[in-house]
Amino acid sequence: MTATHNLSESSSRQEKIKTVHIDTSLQIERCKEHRKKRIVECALEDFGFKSSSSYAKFEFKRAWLRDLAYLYSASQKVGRLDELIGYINDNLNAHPVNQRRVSRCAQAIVAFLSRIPEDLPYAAVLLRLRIHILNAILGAYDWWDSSITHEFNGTGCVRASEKPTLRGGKICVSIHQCKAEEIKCRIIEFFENYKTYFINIKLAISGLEKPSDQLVEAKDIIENAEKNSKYLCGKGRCRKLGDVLIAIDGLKMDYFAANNDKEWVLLSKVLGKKLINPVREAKTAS
Amino acid sequence: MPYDNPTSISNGISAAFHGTRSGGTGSGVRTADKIFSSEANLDERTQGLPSRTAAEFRVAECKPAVGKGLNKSLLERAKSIIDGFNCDDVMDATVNLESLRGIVLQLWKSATNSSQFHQDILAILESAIISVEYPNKDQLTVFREAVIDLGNNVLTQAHVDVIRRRFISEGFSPLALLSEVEDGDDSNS
Repeated sequence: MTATHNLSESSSRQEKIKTVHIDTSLQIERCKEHRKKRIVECALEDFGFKSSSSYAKFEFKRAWLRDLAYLYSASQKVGRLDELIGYINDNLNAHPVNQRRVSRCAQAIVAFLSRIPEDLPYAAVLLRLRIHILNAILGAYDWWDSSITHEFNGTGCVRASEKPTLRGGKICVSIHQCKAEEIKCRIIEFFENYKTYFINIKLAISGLEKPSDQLVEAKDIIENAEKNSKYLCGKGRCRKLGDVLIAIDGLKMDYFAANNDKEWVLLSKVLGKKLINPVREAKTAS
Repeated sequence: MPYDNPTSISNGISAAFHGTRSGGTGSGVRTADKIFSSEANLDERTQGLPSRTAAEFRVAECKPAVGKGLNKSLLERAKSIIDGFNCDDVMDATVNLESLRGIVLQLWKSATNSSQFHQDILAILESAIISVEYPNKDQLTVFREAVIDLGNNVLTQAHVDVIRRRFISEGFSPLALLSEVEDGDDSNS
């Protein structure tokens, strides 16, 4: 058998492998309990290569793990579960910007309450909640890494690489502020290298009749970055480009998989990818 | 797979104590140096033990934690259910799984007097048992390993690390129990 033949056989085998790039929204679905997870896992079953982006991991950490860390910290300050709910309400509820965090914390508590026998003592109930949150956060990055074949890291997001840790009894899900004068990631190079794609996305957003708020924000950021790519750094501007960064990071993949059509239908179209949204498809089917 | 059975887990833990890595993959236990010498890691285990100082904890970390342990009869019951689990019979699996869930919940009563390591493994096990629909044979093996560990009065951080990785490698998400939490981005934060 010749080397050329081997190469050709290897190439044809590679062609058969379907590849998919998964957004944060769908990764979150994948780590849920079996009923919700199964829908997504079945849809991804045929893909031999599953990727995501380090920027998606950053969003996962910021949108979910950080709120759980807050719940954990709050649980250490009270003696009973009902006091915990009161504590969160007193400390967060007055501020409209915290509504989502309050909502997430409440939902996490509800998930636990639904599985507690009436005779479990208060101390055990709170302990159980605390330990579950602790292990969920500390195991989250390992789960993320095991759930995909490869993580693209085009932006070199430093904040994504900071794994949650436990120090002195406190969970650290740190998300440091980026400073324009002290750039540690590669977002500027990433933008310059893929500028054409960013501009195409911007043009496509401009052509939409009713773009989502997130897409409008992304368009504004791209417009400013075209003039000076350093604009991307600082003041959390890169976050407003989140889905765009994740999508461009997965350019080598055949499919995109996401659960937010408002943004990903456009991104898939512009970047020439097929989009799958198993959650939407399951809802439509039912 | 570096940890296919309880024996190999013990080997892994032993390797961790002796500063060697067990198994051929990167997903094995951390080395003893990492586990027992890291300042951060020593501080980690002060969590949930408010009556102990960090210095006291250092001793506990180097010398594995000894707790009163969990309710032994419940653990025995859990082990016998797992051993008799019939994965091919849906009805049988459903009933057994529900029994396991009940037992694990009851174990939390004795968990308040056990070590942090027992509590960690109990949480990892419970999260998996609640989130799974029908466990396969490999997943049952991991359940069994966790129950065996919980029966030990002496546990270490290495036990927790190995069990956590074992459950993740069998497809369990540590976040599954929090699955009612809605997803989505928080643009205001």
